[in-house]
Amino acid sequence: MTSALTLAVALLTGAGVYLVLSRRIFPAILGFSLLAHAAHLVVLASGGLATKAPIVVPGTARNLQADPVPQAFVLTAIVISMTVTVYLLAVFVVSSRQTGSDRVAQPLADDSGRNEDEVAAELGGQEGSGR
Amino acid sequence: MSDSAPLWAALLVLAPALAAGVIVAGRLPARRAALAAAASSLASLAVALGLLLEGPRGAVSTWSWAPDLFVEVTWRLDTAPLALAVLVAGIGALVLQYAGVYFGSSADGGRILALLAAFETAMLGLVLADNLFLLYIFWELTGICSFFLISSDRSKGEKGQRAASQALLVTVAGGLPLLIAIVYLVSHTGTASLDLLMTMELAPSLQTALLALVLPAVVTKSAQVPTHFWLPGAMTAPTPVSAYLHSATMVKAGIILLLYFYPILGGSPWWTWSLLPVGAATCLWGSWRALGESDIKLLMAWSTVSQLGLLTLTIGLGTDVAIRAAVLHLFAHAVFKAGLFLTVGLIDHSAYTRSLLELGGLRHRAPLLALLAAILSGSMAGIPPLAGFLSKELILKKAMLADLWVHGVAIGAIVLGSIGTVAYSSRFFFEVFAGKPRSRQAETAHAPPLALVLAPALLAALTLLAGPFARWVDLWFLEPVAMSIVQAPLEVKPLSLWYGINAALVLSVVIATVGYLTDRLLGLRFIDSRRGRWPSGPEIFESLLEGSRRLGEIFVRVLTAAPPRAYLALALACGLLPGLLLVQDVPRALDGSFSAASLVLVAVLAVLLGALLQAQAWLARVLLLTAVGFAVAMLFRRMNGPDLMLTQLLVEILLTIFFALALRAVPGRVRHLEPIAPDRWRMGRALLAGASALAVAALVPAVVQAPRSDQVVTYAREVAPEVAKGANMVNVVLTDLRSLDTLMETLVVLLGTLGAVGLLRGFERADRTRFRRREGERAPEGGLLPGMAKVILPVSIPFALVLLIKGHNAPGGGFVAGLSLGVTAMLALVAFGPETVCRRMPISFSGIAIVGIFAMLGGGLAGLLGGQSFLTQFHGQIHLLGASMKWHSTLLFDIGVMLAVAGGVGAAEVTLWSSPASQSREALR
Repeated sequence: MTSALTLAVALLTGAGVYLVLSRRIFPAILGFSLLAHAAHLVVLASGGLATKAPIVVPGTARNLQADPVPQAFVLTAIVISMTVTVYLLAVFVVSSRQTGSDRVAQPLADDSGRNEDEVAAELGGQEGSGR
Repeated sequence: MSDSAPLWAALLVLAPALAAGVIVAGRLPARRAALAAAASSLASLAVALGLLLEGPRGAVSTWSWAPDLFVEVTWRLDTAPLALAVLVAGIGALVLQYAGVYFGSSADGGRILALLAAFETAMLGLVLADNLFLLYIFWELTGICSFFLISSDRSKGEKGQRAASQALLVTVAGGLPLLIAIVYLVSHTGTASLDLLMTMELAPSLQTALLALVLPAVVTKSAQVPTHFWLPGAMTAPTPVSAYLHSATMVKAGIILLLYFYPILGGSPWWTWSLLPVGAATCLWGSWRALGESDIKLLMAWSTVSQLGLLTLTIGLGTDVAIRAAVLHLFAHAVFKAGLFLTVGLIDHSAYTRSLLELGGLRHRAPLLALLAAILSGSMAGIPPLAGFLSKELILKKAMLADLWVHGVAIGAIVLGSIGTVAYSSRFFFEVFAGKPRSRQAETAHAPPLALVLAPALLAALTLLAGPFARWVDLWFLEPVAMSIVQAPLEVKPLSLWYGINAALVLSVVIATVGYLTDRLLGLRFIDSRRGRWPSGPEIFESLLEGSRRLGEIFVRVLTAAPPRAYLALALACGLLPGLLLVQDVPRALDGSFSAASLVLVAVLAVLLGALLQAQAWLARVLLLTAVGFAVAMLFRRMNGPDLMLTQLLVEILLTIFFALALRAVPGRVRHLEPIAPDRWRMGRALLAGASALAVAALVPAVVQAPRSDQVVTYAREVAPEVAKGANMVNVVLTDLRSLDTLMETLVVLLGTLGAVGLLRGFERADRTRFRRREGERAPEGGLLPGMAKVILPVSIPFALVLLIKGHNAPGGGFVAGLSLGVTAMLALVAFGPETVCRRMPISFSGIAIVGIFAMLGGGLAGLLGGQSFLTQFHGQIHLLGASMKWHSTLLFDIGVMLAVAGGVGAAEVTLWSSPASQSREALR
């Protein structure tokens, strides 16, 4: 099981990091979800690889049961990473409507030579046409 | 009164703030506001006097919240703090009375009076606070009140605001080291009580370090060179404000701090050598600049700078007797300078000018004013028998007792500074009141109303009576206050007007004569001649500020030059790559065994991820992500986490729909993937991804094989059935053993979902009207989906409840039930449209979430009320109709979790669903 788990984490992390470093927002959100999976698996692995679920059934040898604490952590972490993904999606929707693009924002230095009003006017125009 | 002293102390401090609250709440006009504020000052004064008569009693505590963390409200009801409180409240009452008449019908009057009263509370708190952190809070509050008061004269416009921000920036910058000093002192001694600290002996090196941190606060607050420039700038404030803050009280805060810290830090060898030069320079520079001013208010401001320097210098002498002299001068100066500022206000009021070049001959027009000015400026010049003479004489005498070097510097600075003081005092009096009027305004000046003369007259009387009653002043006031400050008995000759002919007297006579002659010889020459030669303090300060702004711009430009992902890559590299050190252990740690099932899972995962990286169509990518999530859920199953599997499956279902909704709301041309140049860093990305994969994966064998104790499992196993009455240990951990954690995490879930709602709403400004407008096009009638929904919905809510209740013993629980309710809500939304769903629901989704949070908190508070700690869960049995049923408060907690999650998810769904779809439909291919 350790080998399979290690491979799975490697695959998820690799794909996740690659996507997170994308220049578009949407793949970056996908990458974030993959990284969350990898993180959950690592935390879960820290509880050891037991052979029984952490549910007390009379007669189970206790050293075979999984550690409930990492499982509880990961359970809430799954829900929280879903929440964060939803938040990122909201950011994506709003930013793509505002800029008419799914590109990750360009650095501030690119705006040098233009004052804030010009940039704002341009953004406003795009927002209008985006609708 | 003895037992209620802490309450009286709190009342003493807070009374003016209460008045300020009344003034603001009632929008009182200036005169009535002044009545309220002056009455509260008098109340404070009475309480302070009462406490003073009761005798010193050390520190008392009004409110002790977390004394171990030094969070408590304690007051020092010692003689010196109370005497200073009497000064602050007394002058406060006079100034507030004066201000009421001065502002008369001005629209801003009430506001300024409220601010003045609020400032009085801050100042009273500052002098009385025992807890050093409390003292710091009041210290900064005085600065903040001063900021608003300096800029309160709106006719001064931007000039006033600039002066106010300068004063604030300078004093706050000095205040920060004070906070560091306090933290240092408290962590070193283990107490934050000033009363206790005064009795401690600190190592001289520690004293010096602390002095270095306290000094900036003193120098900035009390306008010492080189940060003195904010004080003349602050003269844009209305005159009563200047009289109170910038002469009598706030600028004394630094001096008071020095006095309070004298028993703690006075042993430092640097005490004299740091304070003496600063004080001497300030004293001389202030006198020099005062001699060059034509505006009498600025003249007074520079004179205040000079006198503050004199006080610092005297304290810098570092002997108990010098402290006694400084205390006397502090009080004497507060009285005569407040009076003089009020007099300046009256002159302005009578003649409509403050320029020496335009005034003159006012003694005929306002004889009473002339008398007051003579007494007050005489006191400033140190003419017997006035209070100023007593204190200056005492300072001279004590300075002569010092070592040779100190003696020389101190006497030199005092004599030169005082000659200047006599000269500008004499100029002020003679050029304003004597001679002939130099302008029409001065000719037509009128006598001020008696209501305005009252305050300066009382102050003048005080300064006049101090001399003849010097013995009593000493016995009743100076000796106890000075002893309370130096924390030791004082062996001194009693204060007197006449000690016989001695060196100090001779010097006084020389100072007075030379000063007077200087003024008479100078006349009005050299006035205003010193401006413009060098950049002034404010100008230097402004250019420093501008410089720091430029520096910040340069930093921003340098630091944001790269695209965002470069920083992300850097962070990933720094955070993850150390994990590569673990990689060498991986081959040994892997068992190499692949069961058939896990092999299939990993292979599926690899294929799915490969496809995800290659796919271009948006919907395909979403579905692939869902499939990856299912594979991970299977991994959870293999790792014996049935709860996790359930949760993950439900989350994947919800996320798939969320992704689809989001893509629907994205503009078409974004979905059409606008062309983008080939990624030059593709290889770099891939390399970093590969390295990260290695680094993170290396963690897995490491953590699996790390030695761990089975204490937690054992404890949970034992406690789960016994105490928490549950067999599902994960659920027991979530709802009982670590329920505070769960509460916080549920709040995070709620914050995230409601944050998304807020973001979308804020952008869309979507409201119910939008729903109505869109009702026609959405809400499909008939069809397969609504029919299915009608069958599924009635089942799904009981299903969620079963998941919830069973969760304590079997896989399930609040999170799972909440997510399944989220799926239910999604089904209803898709089938019937948001408008129908929202109309049918008795309570909004965010309302459900809030009910959930309160359910969790309610369960926790029940434990608290039962005498246990917060979130202690409990259980019992219900007997109903002969049947008995076990119940457990974790169920309430879990219901809360369910409602919070379902509500948050539902709110996000409704918002995303009702945000307008994009025009082009083919985008989802």
